[in-house]
Amino acid sequence: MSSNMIMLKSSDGASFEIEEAAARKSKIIANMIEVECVDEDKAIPLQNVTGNILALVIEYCNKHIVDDDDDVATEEASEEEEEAKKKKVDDWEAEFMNSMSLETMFELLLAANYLNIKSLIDLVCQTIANNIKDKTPEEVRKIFSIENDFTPEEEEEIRKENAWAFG
Amino acid sequence: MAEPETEKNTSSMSLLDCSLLTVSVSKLHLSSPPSTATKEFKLSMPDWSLLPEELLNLISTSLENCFDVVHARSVCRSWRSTFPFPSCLLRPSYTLPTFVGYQSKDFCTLEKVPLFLFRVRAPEAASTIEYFLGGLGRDESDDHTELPSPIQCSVKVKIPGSDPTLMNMHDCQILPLGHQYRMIGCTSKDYRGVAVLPLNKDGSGKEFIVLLNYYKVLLVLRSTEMRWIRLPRLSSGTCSEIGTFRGKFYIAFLGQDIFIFDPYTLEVTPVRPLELLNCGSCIDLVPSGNDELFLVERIIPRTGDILYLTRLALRVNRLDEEAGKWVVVSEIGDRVLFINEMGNFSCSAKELPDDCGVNGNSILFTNRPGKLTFAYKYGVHTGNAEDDINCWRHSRDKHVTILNKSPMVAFRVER
Repeated sequence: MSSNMIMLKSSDGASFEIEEAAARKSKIIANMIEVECVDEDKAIPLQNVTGNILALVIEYCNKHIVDDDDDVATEEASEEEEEAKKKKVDDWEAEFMNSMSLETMFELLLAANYLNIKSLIDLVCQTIANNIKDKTPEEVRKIFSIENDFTPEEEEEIRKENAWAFG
Repeated sequence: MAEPETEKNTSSMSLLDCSLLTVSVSKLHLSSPPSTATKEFKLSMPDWSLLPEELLNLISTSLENCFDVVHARSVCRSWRSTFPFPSCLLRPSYTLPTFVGYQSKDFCTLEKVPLFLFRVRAPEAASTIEYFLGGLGRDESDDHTELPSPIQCSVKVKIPGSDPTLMNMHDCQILPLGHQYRMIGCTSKDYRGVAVLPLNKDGSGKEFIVLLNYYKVLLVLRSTEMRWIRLPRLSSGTCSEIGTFRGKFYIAFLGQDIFIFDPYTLEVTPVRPLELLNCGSCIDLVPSGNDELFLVERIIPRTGDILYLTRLALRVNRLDEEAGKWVVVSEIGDRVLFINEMGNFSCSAKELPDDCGVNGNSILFTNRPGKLTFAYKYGVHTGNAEDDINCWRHSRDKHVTILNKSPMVAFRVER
């Protein structure tokens, strides 16, 4: 396993050093490494990602690169061990997402999409969905600070769309 | 179905994004150093409607409960335009030529109805739990005055003999049970059920075939011809049930005659369960998604002309499709099979809490005479030495009270 380090630079000028293996979680960066357009001395500029968000992305990638290594090393691990490991990752992810606000989640989702990190996109989307599920539209508006901009006619249509019956 | 399609779209979009971004990122790298912060980190809530459509779609598919999607559509205009109305809640209908005196020029309507199981969330101390099982549709009545405010999804429950009540969906656990096809407005007592399969040889996915149980006659219609054809008589018995499983029709007759009917070749193949001696029997087909097709036989021991109704037991079979035969089983996993007047369904009890009165590996009949019943389980001791223990019987541990049988099933279980 290579432990090459590469540099990433956020849109607000912050530089981050990251293991190449972790950076490869981003398909965009992996692609750039493949075509050898990464200069070892220069940082890769990421114009759409601010420093505080990039720090989160790197935290996520670092955590998951370790997990991926484990997967290779313990191919013959028992089912229980596998389950315990999966639970550890799930717990870490829950904690990771739990610590951030919806504003941060929004930025993180855009960054994950820009850097093309599929598993992070899925994780953030699922967490956002969890903030919508089992809530009334009014509660969702409060959580996401969204204004009700429906006209009375539209409101009536929505009222009908929410009214169901067995039959 | 919708989900895999969405996934496919998303991944192809990401690939596209990836290549485009690689170009732009590399260019940036080759040219000038990055500009410093182009925008301040926003403290105010971002505009969620600005998320790329594929991300909003991904959020929408992460909402497992389709009523959460209806709620998301009720939040604001931009969310309404981004979250599509859940296709699983649509009730598409098709106009077909009528089958009553099947040369007539009238028309009838075939409707695809979404089915759900509702478990009403009860307080810890409650001794019983209520369930509702049935087809769901928009409440078309004009009276919406009693709807909950502020707006949220509710369902009207009408049990004959009592006033209609309104349940908030958030007060229920809701499990989707797939779809059922119905002939709308058909009051003929000879009509006994309908089953539909897609015909997808041309790849358009629009053509279908309908099998109709019309008392002693089975009728078939293909959407390419729009004409009912009578199937040759398969059995001397009356057809008790028709259903579909993994792209084929299954036709069951009173007695033990069961046939597989291929929608493309129109060939019919018999698939009989093991013969039962000295008993009367009655059969029900219960598909469990595309995983398994179960055959539930109600067996009543008989001596001469005397049927011992009190000793009724079940034999349960699973279809071995490859071998073309039924295999007797003593367990059905965490599934619960519901056998109802309006059709038979299966659901996974894994989704239900342990103390909700409905457990896996059990079978519940809501269509038997009387209001009180029990779930059927395997290997129940009856206390009677004559009774075989190796079969499915009344479990006698939790009373089930049937409150309504049709068109919606309502029942109450002791926890």
